[in-house]
Amino acid sequence: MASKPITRATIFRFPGGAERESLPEVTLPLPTTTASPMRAAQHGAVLDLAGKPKVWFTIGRGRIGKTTLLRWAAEMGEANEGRVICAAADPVNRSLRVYLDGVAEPPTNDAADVAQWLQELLLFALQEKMSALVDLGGGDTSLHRLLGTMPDLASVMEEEGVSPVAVHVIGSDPHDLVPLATTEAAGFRPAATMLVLNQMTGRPDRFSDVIRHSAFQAALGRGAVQVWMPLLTPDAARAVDARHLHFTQVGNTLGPFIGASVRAWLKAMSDEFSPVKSWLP
Amino acid sequence: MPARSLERIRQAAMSSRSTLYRWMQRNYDGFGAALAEAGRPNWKAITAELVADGLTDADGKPPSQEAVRQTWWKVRKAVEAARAKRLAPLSPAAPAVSAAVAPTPSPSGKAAGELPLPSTADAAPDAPKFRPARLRSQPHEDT
Repeated sequence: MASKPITRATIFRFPGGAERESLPEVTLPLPTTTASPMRAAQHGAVLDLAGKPKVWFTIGRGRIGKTTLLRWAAEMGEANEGRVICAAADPVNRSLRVYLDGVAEPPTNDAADVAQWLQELLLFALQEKMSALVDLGGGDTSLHRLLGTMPDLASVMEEEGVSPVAVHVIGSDPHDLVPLATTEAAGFRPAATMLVLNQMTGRPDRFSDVIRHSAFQAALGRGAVQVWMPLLTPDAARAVDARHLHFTQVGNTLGPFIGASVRAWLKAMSDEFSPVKSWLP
Repeated sequence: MPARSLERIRQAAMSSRSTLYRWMQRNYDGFGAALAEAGRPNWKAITAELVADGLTDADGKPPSQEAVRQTWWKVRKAVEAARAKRLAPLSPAAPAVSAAVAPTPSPSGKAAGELPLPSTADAAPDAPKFRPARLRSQPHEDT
């Protein structure tokens, strides 16, 4: 897979001047809801990965919501039944192990160690035809090291019967697109690519610069799927984290209001991710 | 899995390591024993031997004395961590599916010109074990 060098100027070409004139109509001051007004007019035929082993490569800047997403995915999918490898490559944030037993982690924080560990993990998944959820962490270098020697990693995995799923978690800051742009430029463009816009970082109308951006549009153009990650209210998130609870087990343990918030969030997550439900391991 | 793909992945897996690192990893026990026996190893002489054998640093250059010491420190850290993990008992809830990447001892296959150290297994000592994770029944702070 050829990779084209990409410059900062290419990555960050913001619309301005005349381009602004072609912006969509002004958003009407509708009542606020938890629904996503910009949920895409998208999703033609979304790839069906049901029944296939798949490896999630969760990519994004630090504190963007990758771990929360992975916790949710682990609770929803086969990880809940103990059939999925969960791995935390992030040398700093390894909070997944608070919630999961048996999280795979690199032996040290050394970048080369992490890269080699990731390679061995993928090799294992291919050999065993097992699904995996991999938290690459903010500022990941391990995947890029691997792509440096194997830019066609996605195709090789497909050939071996394991579907790579690129899960880009993106906030409302256009700089959150850097990991997406660099990973795509490095040649990692799996057919199953998810652009997860995390509303924790801002309401949907704050994402307009991100969505208009050429890096985002290029990914959509090659078939990536846009998904909104609903906002779990900060109070509820803090309470759940403080007690280290699984989302699906909160019930009314934390009181009826927080319980209702978490249930509403779970429902919204289920709705938003329904187009890519078969991509969940 | 076709052998071609496996081989490419193996090559990719090893490519992030210097030849020096890989040699130390392969010969971990023997090299470590020799250093322990020396007490205060002569790193200058050791470096000269390693360079003479053609081992290189991550940039493909002959390693400096300091680089040799640091590489050995990193290898020790990685190997010891991996061995500690292997010794840790598996969770009873975890299916035993991790054997596929457990180190497999094989003849050391020492190349001519390597340091005259005791022979060691050619296993990758820091090969991690992978197994499915499970939701903790009672999530808690770090273990």
